[in-house]
Amino acid sequence: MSRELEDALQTCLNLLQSGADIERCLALFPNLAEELQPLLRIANQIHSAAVTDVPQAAFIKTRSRLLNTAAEMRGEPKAKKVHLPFLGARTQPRQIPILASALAVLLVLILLAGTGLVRASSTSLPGDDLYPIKIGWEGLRINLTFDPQRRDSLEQEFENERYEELEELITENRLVEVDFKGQIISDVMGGWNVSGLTVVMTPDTHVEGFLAAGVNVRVRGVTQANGYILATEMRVLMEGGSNSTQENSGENESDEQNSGNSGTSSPGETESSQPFDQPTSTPSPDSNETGESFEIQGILTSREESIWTVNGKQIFVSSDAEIKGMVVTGAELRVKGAITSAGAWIAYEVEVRSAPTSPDGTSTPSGSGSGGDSSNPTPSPTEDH
Amino acid sequence: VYRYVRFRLNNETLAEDISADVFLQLLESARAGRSPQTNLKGWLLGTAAHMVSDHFRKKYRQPTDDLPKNLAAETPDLLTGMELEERNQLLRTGLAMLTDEQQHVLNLRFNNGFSLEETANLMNKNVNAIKQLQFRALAALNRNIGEMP
Repeated sequence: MSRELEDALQTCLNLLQSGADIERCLALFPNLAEELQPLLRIANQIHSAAVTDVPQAAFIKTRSRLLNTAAEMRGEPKAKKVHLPFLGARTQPRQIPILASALAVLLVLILLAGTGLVRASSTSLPGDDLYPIKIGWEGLRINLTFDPQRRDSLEQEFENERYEELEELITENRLVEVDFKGQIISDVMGGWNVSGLTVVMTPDTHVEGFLAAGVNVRVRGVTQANGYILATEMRVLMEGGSNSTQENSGENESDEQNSGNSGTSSPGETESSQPFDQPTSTPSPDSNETGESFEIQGILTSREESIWTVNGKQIFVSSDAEIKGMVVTGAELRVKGAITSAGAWIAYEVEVRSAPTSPDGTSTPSGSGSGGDSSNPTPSPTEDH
Repeated sequence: VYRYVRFRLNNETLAEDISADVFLQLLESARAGRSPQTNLKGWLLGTAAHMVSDHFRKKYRQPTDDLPKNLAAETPDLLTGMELEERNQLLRTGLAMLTDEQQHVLNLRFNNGFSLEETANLMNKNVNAIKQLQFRALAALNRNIGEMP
């Protein structure tokens, strides 16, 4: 009898799993229905209370603890340390011999092997053997470029290259320690979208300053297989001098700031050596924090809600900003605004200078050229302002 | 592993910690040359089961920590609605009163969704033994819930 019941229960469970209801199952076993019914109901109840979602925090916590323990077991650093020499940072003293050696090796190799090796290194990523050659070559190119405009352009190009490298590392599921600067675009579950990259924080993440959308930050962490960066440190970057020279003389440089070739398309940034006294809320043009004004002209490459990217620079465009012309991605804009003490670029005026060129070479109409609708926070590409 | 642990504990943070502990245990075992050679999934879930049981045993030793009361006090965030909430609390309390093996089989079958054969493999038993265990576990759970005030 017991065996018969067990078999009947299993048959009914299979039927329930395939979508049948309890009554239909019981009809198959009328003699056992009385005993089967409560068991099937309780099985259904357990199934309906099943845990289906695994929170991201569980993955992160496990991964983080596992990696740390594994590193401790090896008696080695937690992950391969690769410093990304981002523009605007400086080389710390103990890195100079390393960089100098790399450059010396680079020069010798260039002499011996021409530019073949440099070309081969162009696709290398942090952690690759050829990566120092790539970085050294970029440094050389910047240092040997005396035209300020050309130099700015190169710096911007290399900065973009760093982001692409990060994205590639993430795509390739490589576990590499990274160090980069970017702007917080928005918060995401368990972390932040920093310049398009998902940065996840854990309780162990060291945070300096007040994190909010629009703020420039320096992130240190490890790329993860799940397509994000696990942050070990997030530090808000304060607005410092307007160029690298001023930045280099700052007292609050961390021990790992490197390379003095700061991007001059944006004001120089220095890291906050202490937490912010005044937490920054979501930036707005009316904020009393606005200090240095800016005016930038360039191509709008992307627009995510209130964060617009012009010439690679992310600018917060609130609903109060005056929009002149029809804004579409690819259009040339002139943006005027101010920079908060936390480093956020806030636009108060956006003017469309020229519409993007369509594939057939014609230009899309740029609208009336005036009369921005300030009531609309994110004008649609087809809207006229 | 997390789903398994979370189902038995109904405490998100603790479930995260124990899930991580399971994998750390795997690492330790591998280091000591005792890592599972054939049935990794079974090893992980078995270790999770032991760790959850250890957790409850520790709680039992604390005189002020009454298990059913404590379970009921933990945040019931699986379902919404008073009735469902109450029903789930009864279910969890009833489950906690089963033997470790009975809890294990119900968790694997109805929470983690393993088939009879998979469960048998994970528990290193034959299919008939799992059928029997499953039947007894459901019957005991039904009894436990029926006897609750």
